Order: sequence, then structure tokens, then C-alpha cells
Amino acid sequence: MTRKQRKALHATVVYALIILLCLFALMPLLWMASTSFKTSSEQFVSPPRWIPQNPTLEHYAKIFFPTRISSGSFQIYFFNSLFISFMTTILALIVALPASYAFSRFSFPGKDAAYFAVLGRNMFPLIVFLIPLFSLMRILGWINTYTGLIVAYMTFTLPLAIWLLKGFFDGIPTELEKAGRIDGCTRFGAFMRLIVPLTASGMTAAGVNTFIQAWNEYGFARQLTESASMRTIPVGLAYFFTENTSDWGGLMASAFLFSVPVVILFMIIQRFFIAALTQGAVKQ
Amino acid sequence: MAEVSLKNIVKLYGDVRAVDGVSLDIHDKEFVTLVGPSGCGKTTTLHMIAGLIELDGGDILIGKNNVSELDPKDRDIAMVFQNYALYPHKSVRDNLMFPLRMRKIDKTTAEQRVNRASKILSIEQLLDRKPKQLSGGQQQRVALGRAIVRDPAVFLMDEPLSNLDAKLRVQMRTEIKHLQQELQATMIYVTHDQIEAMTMSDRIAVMDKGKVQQFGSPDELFNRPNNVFVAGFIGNPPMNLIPAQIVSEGGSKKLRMGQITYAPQTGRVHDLMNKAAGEKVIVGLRNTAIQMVAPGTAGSILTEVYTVEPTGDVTYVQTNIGDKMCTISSPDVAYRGRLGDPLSLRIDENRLYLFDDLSGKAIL
Amino acid sequence: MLKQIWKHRWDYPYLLPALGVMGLLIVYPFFYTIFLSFYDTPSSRPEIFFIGLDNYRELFNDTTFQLVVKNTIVWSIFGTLCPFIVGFLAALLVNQKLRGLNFARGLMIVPYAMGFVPASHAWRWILHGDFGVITGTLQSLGLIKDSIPFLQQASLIMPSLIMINTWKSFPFVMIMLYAGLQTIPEALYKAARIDGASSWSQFWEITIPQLSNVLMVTTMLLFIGNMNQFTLIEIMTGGGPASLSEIIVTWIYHASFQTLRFGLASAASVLLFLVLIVFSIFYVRALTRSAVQGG
Repeated sequence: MTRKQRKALHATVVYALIILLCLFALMPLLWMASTSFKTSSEQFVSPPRWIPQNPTLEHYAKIFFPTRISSGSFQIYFFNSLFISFMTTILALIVALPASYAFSRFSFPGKDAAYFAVLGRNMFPLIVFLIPLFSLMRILGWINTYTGLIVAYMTFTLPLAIWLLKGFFDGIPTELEKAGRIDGCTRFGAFMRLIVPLTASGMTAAGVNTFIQAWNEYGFARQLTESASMRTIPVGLAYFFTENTSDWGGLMASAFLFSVPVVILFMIIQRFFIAALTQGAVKQ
Repeated sequence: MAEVSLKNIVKLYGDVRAVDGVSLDIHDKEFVTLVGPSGCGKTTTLHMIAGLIELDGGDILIGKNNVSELDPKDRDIAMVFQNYALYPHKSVRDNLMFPLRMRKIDKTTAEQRVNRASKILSIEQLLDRKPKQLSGGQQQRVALGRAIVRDPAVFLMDEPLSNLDAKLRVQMRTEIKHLQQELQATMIYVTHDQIEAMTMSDRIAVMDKGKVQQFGSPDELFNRPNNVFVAGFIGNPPMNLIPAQIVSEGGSKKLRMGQITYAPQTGRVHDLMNKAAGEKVIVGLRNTAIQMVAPGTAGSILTEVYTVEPTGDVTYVQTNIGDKMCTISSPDVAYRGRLGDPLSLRIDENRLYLFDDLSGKAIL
Repeated sequence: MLKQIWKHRWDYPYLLPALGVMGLLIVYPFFYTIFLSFYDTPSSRPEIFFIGLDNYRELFNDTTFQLVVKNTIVWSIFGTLCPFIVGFLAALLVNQKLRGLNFARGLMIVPYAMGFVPASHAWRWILHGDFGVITGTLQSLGLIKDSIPFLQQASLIMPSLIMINTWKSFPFVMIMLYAGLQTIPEALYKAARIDGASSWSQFWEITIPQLSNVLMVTTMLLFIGNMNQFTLIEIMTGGGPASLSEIIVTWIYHASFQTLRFGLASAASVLLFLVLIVFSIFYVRALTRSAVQGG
């Protein structure tokens, strides 16, 4: 074989494997979409069809224009998910911003221990924290409230936000604050006026990431809410069949609507996110 | 050891002709340097010789074999990289052993060769260290060692000294040249540093825009540059290149450089002016071809001091000749003129070069 | 020490909100769990009773819990190994110098970007015993006659879950290892080619040793993530049938919120903490080692 032939063979093998992997990766989302456009009877046809023969929007119509707005309808879940995720993001950023800056810049006693404690959280399953949090929330009277969920979500969003933001602060040269302080800023002033504006992209990345985390959360939302009107979409999906038996089309349509914004958001920030994910593990 | 021939080799990157028909015949045991500014195609050419980059045209011969289609491992070459490319997780000994191990050379022979190479480079005491524990100069030696153990037909060197500090660079320069002579090796060396090229090479190929501008001995390049590019590239400080116009005044041809109109005295320069295709030319003068003379000397031109740069054994004076900043060597090392001091300069017409303004080619 | 703290007194206000939240949500729950693991928490009464190590004793003697531990080990090991192999392959593929691979990389990240909840529902539908696309396709091709009850048949549950986890987690491995591959200097491969190394030797002599730390970090993160995986299993099978797919975290959840044995669940949590702390130490070691090497 000549070099050219060998190269062509190599490329063919690589592309073939890549296509296989891409199909594997996309299969569930595609099947989800396919099912969501099928009539209820076509869902159960054998052999299964990837392209619906009689595409229908009935499942989406049911989601967007329900015959009656009940406390368990998608709109309510959607609003809950959106509101909780949004507030979680805001709160996490406000709390994480000064903390991550301190972790990046200062060298106070106890810093390493505190940072280790923050990151160490990610090593443990959230569910384990649910027992004490549940009793804590009961004491505070926050069960089945937005406040309860938003605060509980700090458990896992805060460590990640602090970690991501610290990475961004580390990338800003310290000369900037030095110059700012020589020019007459206080230390906090230099932070707020010079550094914070520079972390816009970092805050976006951390914010979107926090949002996605909160948006997808299931265990806390399930256990810390009681009434149907407080459920978020992930919890709502789990209850789907109690209200509609075997309506896979409806479930897939809801799941598809739920997934698509997150996948798109993720694709937009993936560059930041990948940089953050690999920081530390990969020597630059 | 072997000769190397490049026959009209071409590399395209999209529309860019990174290497544009380079032909060189490199003799056995010769030290040839490819030199040029970044992006001139010198490194690409070297990597094509190595087989790391495929040819889009032309042929490469090593010895009598056409190696154009061969893998790097089958070309009987060794290469030293700019960043040394030592395997970081392997000890020095394993680094040196690696090419031998890959070629399935038996262990005792391999060890002998490693020992010999480490002796030549005096790195015996470093064999058990990791590359990270070595200084830049030591890493450089190990990289050379990895090339030597192979006993290849040709050594390829890709800017091997550019990561060293200035002092070490001069020292390693000497060592590499010595090594090449001791091993009687054919060596192809790439650098952007014309001093390295001048001091080390038997012959130099000056490259620009993917083409060889001139291929010759250091003396040839310095004294008989083919074109403006070579003239400006070779020599330190670089040749002063002053745009000029050939004008006829009072029946004889003169050179107008900005406000200065210079009337050449010698027949040589008049011959050159007559051979010029157009009016516009470029006058080339090395710093030593312009002399500071006493005010009022016949045929001298008048300028002013811009800056004076003492370096110890030479003092350079910067001055504008025809709107072009030129460097000249002061005959008096202690000369310390100030900004605006008047200068009388005389041009050594035997060492004046004329280049065509359009093509850049030397007028001979 | 006090002097140091005094000197840095103006550093702490930056941390105050974060430390407050972390204290309430992380430190307190952590110690409360340890505390509760020594107590009996009868669901019928509000009081709790100190019972020493009885909860731990009960766990060690509980055959279901033993099965759960076994499941967790199988799940964590194979749920790490399979995504690792697929992800490593994907990273090597997208690291080739060919057109369109960036785009492919973007597509392959989709499973990672999707939430566990919708993904699990999708897989529940795909693996559906009677109407699932896999069963249906195989049947229509005449390869099988009966439907395959992926999530009901004892021998198929764990493999199915591990397959889904492979789908969900391989992009993470790909991202990490691809980033690692990108940092390996191209010149090393060039040098190796000139030194006569085949692609195979290049992989073992350069790629693997150069990636060693990233491989370690990725494996640890994946392994810890799997041990903590709640949502996927809870939605796919709820730990069933007959605890065949129950792992420690889902068991803790069910013990707390279904059977309301908070004390017992806390004891299991403490055991899990201990295991995770050991793994975390390995993880931190790998991380700091790579940081040191990074210089």
C-alpha cells in the first residue's frame, strides 16, 4: 500500500467509527423526537418507524393547550423549573463571586481547608445530604416552598460556581488590582470595579452551568416538594403515567421540550465549560 | 553518510505555496543550512526531507534512493527538534535507547552505542535522570545523542539552539560544528539566525516565500548577494538598502537618494547604472562601505548624526541617507557624536551594489 | 496563627456568605448524619433513641444490603470501565487530523448535555420490553422471537444500566482525554516516527505515559460519580425488581423516605462517606501530582 492508500484507509476507519459513535450518542434524543411526533397508535407499531408516517403535533398541543389547566400541568412545572433555576443561579453567583475571588487572591489562614471543604462536597452523593436537609427544612418551615428548594440547591451549585469562577479569577493578572489601588481604589473597590466586569464571560459560564444543574435536578425537588403545584419538570415527568397511562408520545414530547433548551445552552457554553472541567486535571 | 537531493519539491497549504519548487544538491559530509525569516518554508522543507510532511510535487533523494514516498523511519535520517522533543517520562538512557529499541537492535549493541554517544557528548553522568531534571544545554545534548546513536545517513536539525540563552547558544554552535566534522556527517540545519548560518555552514540556502533565494558559501552570500532579500538578510548589521533614482545631470548619470544627489566617481558604478533596466534602483552599502571622513573631503556627502551606538569593539553611527536610516561603523571607536552633529561620508564605490527596484535582482 | 488571622481579617468578609451557606448545607448535614447513625428513629414517634452501633450491626447482617453493596461494586466498576473505553476511543478518534471532527465532537457531547431525567425516560422507552425500538427492530429483522425485558430480567438489568451509563458518561471521558491528548507536544510523535516507532508503539510509549495523570483523574471522577449515581437508577428501575439494581445511594433514599429508617440510612451514608473519602484522597493525589508536573 502506498502512503496515500494507507491514509485513505485510516480516514475511512476513523469516519466509520465516528459515525457509529455519533449515532449511539444521538439515538435517544432522535427517538424521543420521533416518538413525540407520532400518533398514539403509531408509537406501538412493529417494526418501529424512525420517521413518523402521520406526523402529528397532538402531544405538543396537549402540552401547550391543555383542556384544563390543572396544578399538575406542564405549564406550572415549567414555570417552577424556570423560576427556581433562575433564582438559584442568581443566589449562587452572588454568594460565589466574592468567595471565589478570595480563594483566588488572598492567602488567609484556613484557606486551603475551606476550599477543600467546598470542593469535597462534589465527592459525596446529594441524596445523603437529603436526610439532614429534609429535617432542617422542616424546622425552618421551608418544605414545599421555592425558598426551600433554592437554598437546598446551593448544596451542589455553590461548589461548582466557586470552582469555575476561581478559575476565571486566576486567569486575571494581579497587576490589575495593584494598578487600581495605586490609582486610588480601595481593595473592595478594585475588586468590584476592575475585576468583576472582566469576569463577565466567567459569570456567564458559571451562571449557565448553575442553571443547567438546577434545571436537571431530580432528588431534592422530588423530596422537598409535596403538592403538585410545586413540582419541577423532572419530578413532573416521573408522575406522568399516573395521570396518562402509557402516553409515551406525551412523555417524550415533554422530555424533548425539557431537554432541547439545555442541550442548546450547553453547546453554546461548552468551550468555557470544557476549559473549566479539564482545568487542574490537564497540565496546560 | 550520503548526499541529499531535493528536486523541485512543492508543498501547498490551500492556495499558499509554502514550499515553492525548492531544488538543492547537498553533498556528502556537507553542512548545509536553510535560513530565512519565519514563514519562509525552511522548516517545512526540512520536515519534508524527514518525511513528516508529504510532498505535493517533486522528489527527494537520499543517497541514490528516491525516498519521497517512504515513512520517516525508512529514510535513514535522524532529527533534532527545536524543543528537543525528549520523551519526558523516559530517563535519558531510555531516550537514547528508544530509536534503537524501535529498530530491534540487540541490547548489547544498543548499549554500546548509547555509551559511545554519551561519551562523545559527555552526558554519561546524566543517563539516569529524567529530561525535566536537566538544564537546557543538557537537554540539547541528549537530543543530539538520540540522533547520534542511530548513525544515520543524514542529520536534520530544526532550530536546535533557539531555546538556549545567548551564551550557551554560541557554545553549542561550536560543539555542533565540531561534532559534524568529527562524525563526518551530512547535516541539514534550519535556523532563522543568519549568524548561526554563517558561522556553522559549508553552504547556506537563503529562503524566502517558499523559494531558495540563493544557495552558496557564506562568503558568496555576503560578498555577492543575488538580490535585495539576501543582501538585507545576511550580515550584521544588515546591508543598508537605499532607494535611489538614476538621473542625468550635466550629461552624466547620477544617483539621487532623497535630497542627496551623488555623482559616482568610478567606471564600475557607471557601468552598473548603464545596465540598470529602469530609473529606479536600490543602492546597497554595507556599514563598512560608508566611511566617515573629514568635513569638506571631495565626493563626500553630508548628513547628521541620529544616534551613536557603542558596542565596545565597534561603534555604530545611525544616520539618514536619502530618507533611509543607515548604519555605519565609525573608524574611531571612541566617537560619541550627539544628535544633529554634522557627518561627512564617503562611499566605497568598489563595494557598492545596485539592485533593480522592481525585481530586487542584483545588477552585475 | 492569631496574628495571621488578624492580619487577614479583611479577607474573611468575602467568604462569609459562602461559608454561612456551606456550613448550613454541607457541614451541618455531614455531622448530623454521623450523629443520627447512632440513633434509632422510629417513624411512629418524634423522639430518637441512642442505640450505639446497632444500625451498623444491622447493616452488616442484612442480606439485602449485602446484595446492594455487591450491586454497587459491579455498577461502579463496569459503569466506569465501559464509558472509559468508549470515551478513550472517541477521544483518540476526534484527535485525528481530519475534517469535520470538531462537529462530530459537538454531537458526541449531547448525551452529557442532556439531563439524567429526560435521558432516563428516553431509555426506558427505547428498552421497553414490548414496544421498545430495540426489541421491535430485532424482531422485525427476525433475529429474535420474544421481546427482551431489558429492565425486568435479572441477567439483563445491570448490563442495561451500564450500557445507558456508557452512553451518558463516555462524552465526559472523551472531553477529559481529548484535552489531555491536545497537550501532548506534536514534536514527540514526530520524534518517535523518526525514531522508527509504529502507531502502536507511539500509543504505548508516548500517549499512555503522557496521559497517565489525566487517565487517573478521569477514572476517579467517573468512579465516584457512578457510586453517587441516584437519578439514573431511580428513574430507570427504582432499584428493582427485588433490589437487583439497587445501589447504596438508592438504597439510602428508599430506606429514608420509603421505609423511614433515617438512623439506618444514616449509618449506610457514613459507610459510604468513608469509602468515598478514601477514593477522594487518591483523586486529590492524582490532581496535585498533575499540577506539580504541570510546573
